[in-house]
Amino acid sequence: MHRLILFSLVLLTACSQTPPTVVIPDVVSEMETSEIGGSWERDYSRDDDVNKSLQRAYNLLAQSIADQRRMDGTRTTGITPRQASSLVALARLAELITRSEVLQIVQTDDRVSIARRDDFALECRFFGGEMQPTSSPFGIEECGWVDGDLISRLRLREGLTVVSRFTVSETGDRLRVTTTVSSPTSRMPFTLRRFYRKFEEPESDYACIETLSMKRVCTTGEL
Amino acid sequence: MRTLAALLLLAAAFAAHADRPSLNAAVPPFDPAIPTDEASYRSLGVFPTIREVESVLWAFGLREQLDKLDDFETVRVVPDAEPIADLIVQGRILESDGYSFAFSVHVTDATGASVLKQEYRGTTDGEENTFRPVFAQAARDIASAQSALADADVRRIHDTAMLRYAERLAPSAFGGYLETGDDGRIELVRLPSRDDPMLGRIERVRQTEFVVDDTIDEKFAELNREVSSVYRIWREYRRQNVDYQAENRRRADFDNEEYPQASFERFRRLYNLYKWDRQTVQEQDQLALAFDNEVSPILKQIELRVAELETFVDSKNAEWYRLLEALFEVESGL
Repeated sequence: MHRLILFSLVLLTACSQTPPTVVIPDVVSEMETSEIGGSWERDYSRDDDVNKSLQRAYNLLAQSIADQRRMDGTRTTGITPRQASSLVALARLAELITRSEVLQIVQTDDRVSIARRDDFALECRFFGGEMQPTSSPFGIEECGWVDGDLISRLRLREGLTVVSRFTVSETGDRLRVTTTVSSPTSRMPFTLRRFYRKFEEPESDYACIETLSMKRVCTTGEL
Repeated sequence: MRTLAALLLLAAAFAAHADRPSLNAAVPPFDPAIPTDEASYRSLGVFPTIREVESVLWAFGLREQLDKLDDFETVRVVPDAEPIADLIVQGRILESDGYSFAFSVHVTDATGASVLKQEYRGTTDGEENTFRPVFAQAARDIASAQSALADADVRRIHDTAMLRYAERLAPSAFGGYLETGDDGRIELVRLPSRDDPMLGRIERVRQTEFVVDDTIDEKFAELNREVSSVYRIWREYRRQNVDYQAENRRRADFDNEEYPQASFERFRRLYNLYKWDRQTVQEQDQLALAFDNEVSPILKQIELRVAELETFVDSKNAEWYRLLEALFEVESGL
């Protein structure tokens, strides 16, 4: 019998003040998966505008503070400079880490790897059908499938968290990546959406492999 | 005159038997100690294909040093994990990264008795001969342990190995000479006559098998020659990776406080620390893949050739088995 350990993935979105808690199983057989493997290039025309997203988050933060004060019966003082600065910092981080123009996704039964230019590859690994977190002294990466979406959660030091949700369209040729960054220093998380289109890598006349002593070795024949 | 000559030959034969024989040693590939839990590979720094290659290269490194000592009749790298030899030198990889390496050696004799059990550690500096002094030390320890054996024990080990081989080829003729105790140790109960014709045949078959063993040993030597330069590059990269990881940790310890709380610079710093660490790990994975790409075809080719030779020996042994059993039946009148 599979060991079933549930880990909760808190998906904080800028559209809601009380973020929903999505619980995903860490057992692959209990996940609804999708096909997201392949090469994806950025569709800038559909991307969120960072400034608009920031304005929206700022308004929500102001509303949240006002609601809180009303409930507490205290006078509204508005957003403090520190709260504003923290939200802007999260927005800048979100923009920085979602700048990849191309995603190369490799998907197998026990692994999903998302290679991003100028950044590390997000990894989702399953051994014996169970999710295997990737941990380092600087953070833990967990992932899983929920309703056909791949969700990656990166928990860094000082409570800084990055959640990326990969949603593929029904036609299979569009990909939406919703990235939410949050920190205990900010009352409001920040969310940014990036859109990608699938493309086929042009077929090469050469078959190449990487080697240690000769670096990249290519041949016109079969390797 | 003819009687005198026969007596002299007999005396010489007994004298030879009474002398301390040189023992042969078989070195199977080291136990690569690859964990069964695939999930632990990364945390333990284990790359399965590289460990498989190391298991042969290290066995060969030790065999070279044993061979140099001239204390043994022959020393061969053998594919079989449980060969029949006077001494079996079984190594196990304990640790291997760019800087340090460790292995254990367990030497058992043909009776199953433990002769030496020892761990060895060393550090590498990127030079080709880095491993040599440590393997040389292990070889000297094995030779010393062998020298410490009493002459009678050495003869018993040698005879036991021979009879284990004979029993495998002609169980009807050599079934009653050895007994296995509850502890798995093999005891020599009695000895066949030195001029037993059946024993003479077995010895001749064994000599033929040794020729094949030498060919297999040469195949392992070939692997050693072809792969060691790539392996050296791998260790160099591995060492660089260990350095990068140490550098990442140093940065994490000292630099964090210089950025204000809740600032973009601090968030970016926290993200980058993880990013750099992951990039180091992922680069190492790529290098391991490049090593596999380069070495796997050589490894496959040699494994194939060794398997062919083993199949040849097995089929010949099966033939010998049939012949020797039939001969024994004829000669013993059973």
